[in-house]
Amino acid sequence: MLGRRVWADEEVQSLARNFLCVADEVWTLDHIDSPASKFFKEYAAKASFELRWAPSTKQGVYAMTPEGDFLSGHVARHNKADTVQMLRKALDKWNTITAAKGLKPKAIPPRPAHQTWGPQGLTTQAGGDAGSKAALILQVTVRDLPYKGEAHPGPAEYKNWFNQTWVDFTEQEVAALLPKGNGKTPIPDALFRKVARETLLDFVRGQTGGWSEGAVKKASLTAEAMPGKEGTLTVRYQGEFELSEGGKGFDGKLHGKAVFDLRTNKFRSFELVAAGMRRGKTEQFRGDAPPSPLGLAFIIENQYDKAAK
Amino acid sequence: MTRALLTAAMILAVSARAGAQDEPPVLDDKNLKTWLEFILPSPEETRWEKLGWRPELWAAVQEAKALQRPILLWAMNGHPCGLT
Repeated sequence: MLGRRVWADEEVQSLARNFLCVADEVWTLDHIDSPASKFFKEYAAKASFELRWAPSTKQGVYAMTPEGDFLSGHVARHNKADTVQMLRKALDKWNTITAAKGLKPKAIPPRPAHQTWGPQGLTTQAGGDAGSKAALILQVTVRDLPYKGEAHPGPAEYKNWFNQTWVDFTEQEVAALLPKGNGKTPIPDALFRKVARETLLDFVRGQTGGWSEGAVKKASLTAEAMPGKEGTLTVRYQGEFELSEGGKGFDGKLHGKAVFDLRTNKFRSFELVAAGMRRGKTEQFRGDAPPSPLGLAFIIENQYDKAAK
Repeated sequence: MTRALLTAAMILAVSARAGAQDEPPVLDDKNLKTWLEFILPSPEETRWEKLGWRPELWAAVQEAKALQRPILLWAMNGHPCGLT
């Protein structure tokens, strides 16, 4: 989260545009055998004289040549001054290499934002079980809600943070999200419980493990057909949930609307909000904070950009 | 005033009138968009995406070699483009 704020800075962006920017998951790079992990481990070995990692993680920002030679880097320490210094140091070294080797760097093709998942992005790391067979991927955003007169409550260092994750659905699961006939159709219990366990979490300030099956005290979601345009099925979602485990909990309600294209058998848009009271400390990031409101929004990545075109 | 601040001000005003700011909102068809807008990241909060982050290191290595460009890797527990 802090990293995103640093990367949004104009000076940082100006320097970073000289590099091909890539974001990846470090535990996988450091533990799962693959060409990427071999490349990363070889870089880490070359960088170890300068970087001091904690034994448990190699989180950080790293500059390297295309061959994996060390240019600069720092362990997870997201602030503008350090990042600017690191990027300048890396660029100085790179410019020397470029001149010595007579390289002619080409322009970096732009990559549109909001393409994290799907055919032009990642296909296998979204939450859920569908993987590359995903017929629907929802982007899940979490944020603290207004509380006691404050629009963005919480300590200054965490004020107005948000975080995101994804959850995917197979074709069969997508069909199960549609109403059957008139009235409210319950979404299959197993499907919604899975979604609740994986997404209805307080991960505003960082990763938090999902709920166990036993933590789901109540979880229900219904789908109801609403008037809509021809060729589409407009769906209203309503639900509630109670999750509790190990001194923490999250109880609340859901409300949403989605438009399903009957011609393509795909959702055109999906808007679902969950709002409730969270309580208890999270694994790493929320200490002894008292109960407070938490909200989550589920949408299809890029759906508003598409609508604007 | 940014879009997010306007939304927050409106939500707080509504909450204060209802005397319910200590409770989560009661969601319905009318306020769904308002709460979506409050929770979803603002354009300012998604500026970091403008660097065109590639989402996988190995594919980026091949691309960097072809472009003769250095690589900037942002590596976190949990994919930085999503949950971290």
